[in-house]
Amino acid sequence: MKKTMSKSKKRSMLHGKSDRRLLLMSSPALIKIFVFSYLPMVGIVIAFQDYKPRTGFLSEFVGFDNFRYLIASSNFYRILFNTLFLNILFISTGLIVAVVLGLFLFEVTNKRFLKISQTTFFFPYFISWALAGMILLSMLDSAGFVTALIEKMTGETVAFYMESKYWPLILTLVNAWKMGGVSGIIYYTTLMNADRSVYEAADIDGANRWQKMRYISVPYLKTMIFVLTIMSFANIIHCDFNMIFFTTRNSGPLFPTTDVIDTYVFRALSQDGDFAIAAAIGLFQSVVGLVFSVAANRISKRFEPQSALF
Amino acid sequence: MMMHKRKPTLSSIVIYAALIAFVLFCILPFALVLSSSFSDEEALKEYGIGFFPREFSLEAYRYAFQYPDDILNAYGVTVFVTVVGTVLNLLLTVLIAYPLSKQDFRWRRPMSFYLFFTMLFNGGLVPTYLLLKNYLHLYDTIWVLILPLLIVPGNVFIMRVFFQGVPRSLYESAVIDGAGEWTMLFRIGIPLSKAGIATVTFFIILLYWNDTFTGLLFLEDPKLTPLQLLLNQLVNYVQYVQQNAVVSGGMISAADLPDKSLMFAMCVIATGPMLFVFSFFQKYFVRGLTAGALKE
Repeated sequence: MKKTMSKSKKRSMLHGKSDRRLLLMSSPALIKIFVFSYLPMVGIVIAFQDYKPRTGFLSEFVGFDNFRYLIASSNFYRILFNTLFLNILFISTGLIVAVVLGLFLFEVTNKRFLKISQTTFFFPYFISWALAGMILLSMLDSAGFVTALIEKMTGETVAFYMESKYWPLILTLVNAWKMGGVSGIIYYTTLMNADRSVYEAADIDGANRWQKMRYISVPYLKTMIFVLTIMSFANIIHCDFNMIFFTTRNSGPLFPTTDVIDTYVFRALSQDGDFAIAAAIGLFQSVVGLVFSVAANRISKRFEPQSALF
Repeated sequence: MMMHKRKPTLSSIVIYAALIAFVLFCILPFALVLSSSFSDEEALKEYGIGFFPREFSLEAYRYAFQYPDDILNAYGVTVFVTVVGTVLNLLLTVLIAYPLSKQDFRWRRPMSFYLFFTMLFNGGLVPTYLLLKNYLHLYDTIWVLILPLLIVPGNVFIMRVFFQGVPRSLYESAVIDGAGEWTMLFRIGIPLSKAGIATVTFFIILLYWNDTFTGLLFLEDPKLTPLQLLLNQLVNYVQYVQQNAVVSGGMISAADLPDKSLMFAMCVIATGPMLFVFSFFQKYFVRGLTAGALKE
């Protein structure tokens, strides 16, 4: 009895030592996260101040004035609508493209074809948005491929960077181009883990390809589709700044359909120096983002318990 | 030789055709950039960009290599930032992912929440901007390109998945042999999670190599311009020249400069080599993406 006591005591001592070591080990990362992620949270006060660079964080408090100003401005509804609308376009089309690609890749038996197609699917994903924007320029610019093609066919010259109406479609295509292939590969890899014997049994029963896709592959992908889609919805209030900024080239005439919260905040900060308003929108975005994430997680927990994030 | 068990059916024709269409959709835009960089500037303006060079010309490349200072400098900045950033970032990621992978580590849950919360909520761009500029004095320094990106919570969680794959019995026997946590990490954890390290390393390299946003917001010094930002500035410059040529009624001749073809030639020079390197890493990428989508 006494012997086991001392043994367990020794164990817990050892444990304390290793806990301390593990804590020490993670401290550089913990400090970095504190400085770059938690400290800025203090700066949220700016959203409630009439911020002046001279007085900094000690500027005069104005309560919810910045938010009142925001709600009264038409810009706010425009960027909110664009953010949500574009994201819904991206999520829905992205899902269809990715699932179809995943299902089709799974049907391919030629190894070489599989390899080549996967490599090319990665190309758009690897490049920066700055480069993606330049590639788009090679199509839509005044000498661009698409512009020239339309001119040849209809005789009309379309100035794409001046006409906002085309951009929801253009951005949807760009999103499918950049992300579709890689998401498709994720679904394909998921399918690779499926039980082959189910497919063999279906073969014996005389199921054709489309039936196997519909009744075996799609149900197998259900969890992954659910997880990835709910994660996208959790992020619906955030639009990729780089994507919008570098594809539209920050062109003013395109703002009616392409200006999103993230680009608006960037301009308010770097061009207009409107810190308080930018901070207020930023806070609005963070809070809504938090609510959406928590809600998304609740939904995941309810329908797919193992897919919940936290 | 491949044995063909059956004749191509309608369904396989549909499937292959759809996949080939998407393959073309992915790569043809790159072909446009490549072809226009080898085109004659006048021919481009006359006929527009096509999939094959219009009147093949090396003028744009000759021009680009005539004044290589900017692009060499930008390459230097980006390579420095990517190498130093990746080493530091990987080190910090591993050093926190390993403790988080230990089931009996006392601070495991609070620490994972501490990390995870930053994915759910943040202070926003303005407070971050003011902190980096006015308090940390990182504005217009090389470190602004490195430090803020140092830890990506997603990478930590991917790395943790790989560390959790290491059999616990190995750690237990190491403890009996008197090994401490540091020894266990470097002798057991890391060697047995090489695939995870490769995956995360590649994610980090991509992060630093492609980062344009930080430079856009925090850099003015042309000596610190990274590659991606240089590309962006080049486009702005070309558009500026074109606009002014139009405004002044063609008084300034923009034709002297092979601007469009030059722009795309710079594009090829700046990204060609890396795109080639990246494609070798893709198998790690697939693994990382799937590990990231699954929990614990």
